[in-house]
Amino acid sequence: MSKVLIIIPAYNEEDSIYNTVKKLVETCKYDYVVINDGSTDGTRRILEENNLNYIDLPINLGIGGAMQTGYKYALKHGYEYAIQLDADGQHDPDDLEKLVAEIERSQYDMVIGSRFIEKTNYKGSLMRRIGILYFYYLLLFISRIKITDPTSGYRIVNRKIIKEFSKYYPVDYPEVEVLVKLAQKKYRIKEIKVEMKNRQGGRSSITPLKSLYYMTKVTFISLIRSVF
Amino acid sequence: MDIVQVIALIFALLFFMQVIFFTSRNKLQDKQAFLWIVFGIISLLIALFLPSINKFAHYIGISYMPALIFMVAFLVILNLLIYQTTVISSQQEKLKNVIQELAFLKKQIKDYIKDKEDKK
Repeated sequence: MSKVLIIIPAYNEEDSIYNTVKKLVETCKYDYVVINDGSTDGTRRILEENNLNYIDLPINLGIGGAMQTGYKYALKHGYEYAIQLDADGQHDPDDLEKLVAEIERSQYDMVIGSRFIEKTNYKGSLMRRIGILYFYYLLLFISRIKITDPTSGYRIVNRKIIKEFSKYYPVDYPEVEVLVKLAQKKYRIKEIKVEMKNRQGGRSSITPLKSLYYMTKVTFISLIRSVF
Repeated sequence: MDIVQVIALIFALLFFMQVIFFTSRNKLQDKQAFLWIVFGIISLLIALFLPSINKFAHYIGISYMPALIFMVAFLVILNLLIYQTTVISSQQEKLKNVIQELAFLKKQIKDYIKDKEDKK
């Protein structure tokens, strides 16, 4: 057993899940677990046939519930660190080592792989960039922390945070809310540069209306929870 | 007793009987059942003391008494709704935990069976 667990949440990712895990196993030595979040496509069959290590949620819980399952698994099995890696192939496994090395060296509680802390090849849509910038200022205003890529899901946490997440993890759109919570509890968060590619398969779950809802909801909830 | 009060009493009684019916058939959990029984009794009392409530409404400057009842009922129902939403939220949380535990169990059983087959 390695000291690092890679958590791969997967909801209807039959196009990319096998390649993502295959590349992961080839390039790094850490343990992984795929959380199949009640997929309705062939994701589960692919996981089973290829004998991949996975947990099968019988009912779809959403990204928050799926990630929390991963953190609970990490807690149960005594892992030191847990990394979220998206199944759609946006996260480059080559950056894994950098994240692990950084959290071990710096002793921070969370290290986020950021697309914006230094210049990278990432090209997101204008709307997406505006959204990310909005959350940057929101976190600066509410929590007084500077996170250039607050929506990045590519993040590593230590055992203290694994424990926290096992107790509470937001159900939907967890990325930003979690940062507010952690900053409030005075955990130390750091960012390093990573490369992100465009999706290898599947569809993005974000629509314009959903992102408006997402931004408003996170703003209200974060404001309320940071004050009271 | 004027006819309005009789109608109010009949409705309050029907409501109360409905609550008793659901409670006796175990359609309501104890905590919720008690809440509704209290509500049923309150509505009965309101129907019984309708004339006094009328006077009270006039006393505090509400000329149209039903407005007072609507206002109070609205506030009570709003509170009840928030309470019900907290119940739903806590149940969703519990359900999530059960689903996660179930998933862990499924994995343990699968790993166990695989282990046994490998040893054969």
